This record gives sequence, C-alpha cells and structure tokens, in this order.
Amino acid sequence: MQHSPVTQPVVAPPMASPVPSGKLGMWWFLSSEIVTFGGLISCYLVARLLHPSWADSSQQLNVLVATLNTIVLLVSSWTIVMAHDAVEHGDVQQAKPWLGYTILGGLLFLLIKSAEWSGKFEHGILPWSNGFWSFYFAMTGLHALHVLGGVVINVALWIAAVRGRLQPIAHRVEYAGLYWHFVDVVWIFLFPLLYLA
Amino acid sequence: MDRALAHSTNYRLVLYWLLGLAIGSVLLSQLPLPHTFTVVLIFVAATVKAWLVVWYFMHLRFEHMLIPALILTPMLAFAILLLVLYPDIAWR
Repeated sequence: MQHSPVTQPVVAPPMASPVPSGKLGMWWFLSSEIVTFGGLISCYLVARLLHPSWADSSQQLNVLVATLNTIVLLVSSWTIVMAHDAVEHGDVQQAKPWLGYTILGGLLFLLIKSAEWSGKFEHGILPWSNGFWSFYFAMTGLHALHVLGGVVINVALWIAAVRGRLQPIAHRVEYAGLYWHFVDVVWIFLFPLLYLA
Repeated sequence: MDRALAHSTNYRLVLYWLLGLAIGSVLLSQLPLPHTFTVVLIFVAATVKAWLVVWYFMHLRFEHMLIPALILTPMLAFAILLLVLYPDIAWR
C-alpha cells in the first residue's frame, strides 16, 4: 500500500487588487442595484408607452413637492461628499456636521415622501388603483427604503464620530457616500419618469 | 483615488449645476413645447445630472478602469433590454 506524501496545505496568496476590497464590494453591490432599478424602469417604460392614458394619472402628482424633494436629495449628496472630503483631509471631526446634515436631508426626504403618499391615500389612490400607481408606489417605495437604509448607515457613522471613534473606520464614509450618491442618481431618473414625462 | 486631484474639485459648483439642471427641467416641462421634444431634453438633463454625480461626487474619474467596467456591464444589459423590448411597442 502506497502512502501519499504528506503535503503542506495549499494557502492561496491574497490577490492583489487595484481597488480596496471594501470599495470594490460597494461598487459590486451598486452594480447589482442598477439591475434591480434598471429592470423596474424598463418595465415601466414599456408599460407607459403602451398606456398613453397613464399621463392623466401622472398629472395628479405634485411636481412642486417632488422638486423640493429633488433639491433636498441633491443637497444631501453634496453634504456627504463634503464629509468625505473632510475625512480625506484628515479632519475627521469636521466630517461630523456634514454627516449630520446628510442625515437630516434623508429624513426630510422621507418626511416629504410620506406626506405625499398620505395625500394619495386620502384621495383614494392606492397601489392597485391602476398600473401607473402600481409602478409609482413600487418604484418610489423601493427608493424610499434605500434612502432609509442610507440614513441608518449615516447615523451609525455619525454616532461613531460623536463618540470620537470615526478615525479607525473613516474610510467607510467614502463607502456610505457611494451608496448615498447612487440613491441620488436613481431619484434623478425617477423624478422625470414619474412626474415630468 | 488621487487625493490631490479630488481636493481640487469644486463640489459647490457641481451642486449649483445639479440644482440648475433640476429646476431648469421642471420649468421646461411647464412650457408649451412639443411633448417629445420636452421629454428628450428633460432626459438629456437627467443624464447630465447623473454623470455629474457619478463623475465628481463618486470620483469615478479617479477610479481604476475596473470600476467603470463594473457599472457599465449592467447598464449595457439595461440598454439591450430596452432595445429588445422596443420593437414590441413600436410595431404592436
């Protein structure tokens, strides 16, 4: 009986990546999110072109309120890039107020969105009222959930900053920023699709 | 990301452009112009806004080629999906 020679366990050397693994992971995640929202938007575009009468439903939306929400989200995108900029400058404490403003922006967006939804419910407009409203509630609802997720992440970073524990995890401000900007980009397309077109 | 280059970005100016394009799109949608023309312009403005956010705020211009390739792949799939579905609408 032959005994196989004892060999050392194969240990794969860590792969050298030109991008930090955390950032790469976030971009991978955002890439999958493009598929999620892209699929929804494609379905909506096809359905909208097949149902010209949906324009009547679209006109019941409040463009002014949605414009205000767009401004809130765009400004919050700027505030989080300023938080990232502060971290890049090595001024972690300066990132704290910028993160706070971003959280406030996210909460304000959700407040305005919930008021908009409440108004629709009061007028008897529900997700099953017609195809347009199904898409409207599905797309804005999924987007609002993403905003909520972003707020939770930013709150965690802000608490770390308040406790003076942001320095070791300062790179996560950039990852949180990438996510927040993506949420902003999605809204940049949802706004004209649902409210203006 | 190249820190020195990133720090040279005027984020406030980018924000002004984003706000200007957003408000401009809303005003455009209220003008008595041909609907198709308005919709095309509004989506061109939306694409420019998305590009500003991705290019400057997300610092894509400083990233390794791996990252643009990563996000262009699902966007290509999205474009193909629309192209494949379009004949079903156009010749229905």
